[in-house]
Amino acid sequence: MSDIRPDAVGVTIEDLSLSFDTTEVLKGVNLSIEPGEFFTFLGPSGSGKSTLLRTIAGFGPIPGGRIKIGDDDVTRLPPWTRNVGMVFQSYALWPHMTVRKNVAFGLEERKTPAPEIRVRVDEALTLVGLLDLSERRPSQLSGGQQQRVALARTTVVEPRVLLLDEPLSNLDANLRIQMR
Amino acid sequence: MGAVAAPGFVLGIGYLRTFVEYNVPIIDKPLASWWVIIVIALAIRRLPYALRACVAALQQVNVMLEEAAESLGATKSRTVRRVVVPLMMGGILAGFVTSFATASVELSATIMLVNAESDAPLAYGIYEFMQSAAGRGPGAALAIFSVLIVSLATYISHHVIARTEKQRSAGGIIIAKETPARAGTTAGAATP
Repeated sequence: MSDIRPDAVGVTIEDLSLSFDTTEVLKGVNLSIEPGEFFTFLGPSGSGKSTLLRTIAGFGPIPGGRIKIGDDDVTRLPPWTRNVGMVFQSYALWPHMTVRKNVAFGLEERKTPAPEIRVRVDEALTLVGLLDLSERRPSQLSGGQQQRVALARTTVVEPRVLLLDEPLSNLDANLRIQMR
Repeated sequence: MGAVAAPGFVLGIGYLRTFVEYNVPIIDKPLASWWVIIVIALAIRRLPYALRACVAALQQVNVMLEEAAESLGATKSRTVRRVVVPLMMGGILAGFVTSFATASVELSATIMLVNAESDAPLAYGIYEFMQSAAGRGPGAALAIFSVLIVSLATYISHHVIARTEKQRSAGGIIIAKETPARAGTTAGAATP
């Protein structure tokens, strides 16, 4: 993360709390992530790491407190207006689309012109080393390859904030270094 | 789901009595004696089963697949169109085929509503033929057809479901093994 994008934004979380029924999952979370910072949550299983990431992305119930991305208060905004990319632990690739279609999805939703989509998808797939497999279905890929598709799918839209849930668990050592 | 509770026969009589007074404008005859009423009755009769097939298909679509689309900028309706419906298609198709096949051999509701023999569904034909000794042969032939239609439809819907499931099980949704934590697990990182 040596070169920070000029439009990089920080994330500020103020007194965030979230409960599922009577179980308090998040309570009084205060956090400030600088623009361009690489921030990691550590904690045992069930401690709410994924829940916190999901809340920042806009999934699940509306939490108490405030989430700010840059200067925007996004606490009550739906996920699709936040421009926050999230790579899911289970990858969540769409089984009915090819690798290329999966990666192109975000750009298509942003109404990017088709030639540009092609170029940027090629770039993203080259970066994760999967350009040769672009016409395959996710079911024809290994776990690590699927994970890289998920990563490419999210990074290709250049989100303001990139959230990774157990992001590199399935990559081998070399790829891990390359991805970082 | 309420439609399951009413026997087809009861539904048929109900439709007959209700719509006998309602004249369809252009063709100028009561709705109850128009072939469309059979279509409506069968559709209503099959609706709960078709609905159940759709619900099952919907439940098969992992919610994370929807969330992935939303986080990439797709609104709820766009997500439904591009992710949910295509993934439900197998289940919807299977439900449709089964509904069609079972409707074609259903007699209970249709027997009350058939007005012209030419409009009657297959099962009514069997019933008619079997009334007379001379009709036994053609009736039996029609019965063979109905068995064939139902088995073919069952096979198709089974095949469609098996295919979608194969595609899906090997697809995106494999729950990533949680890395057996050394000191704790890396949860995530946020960076612009």
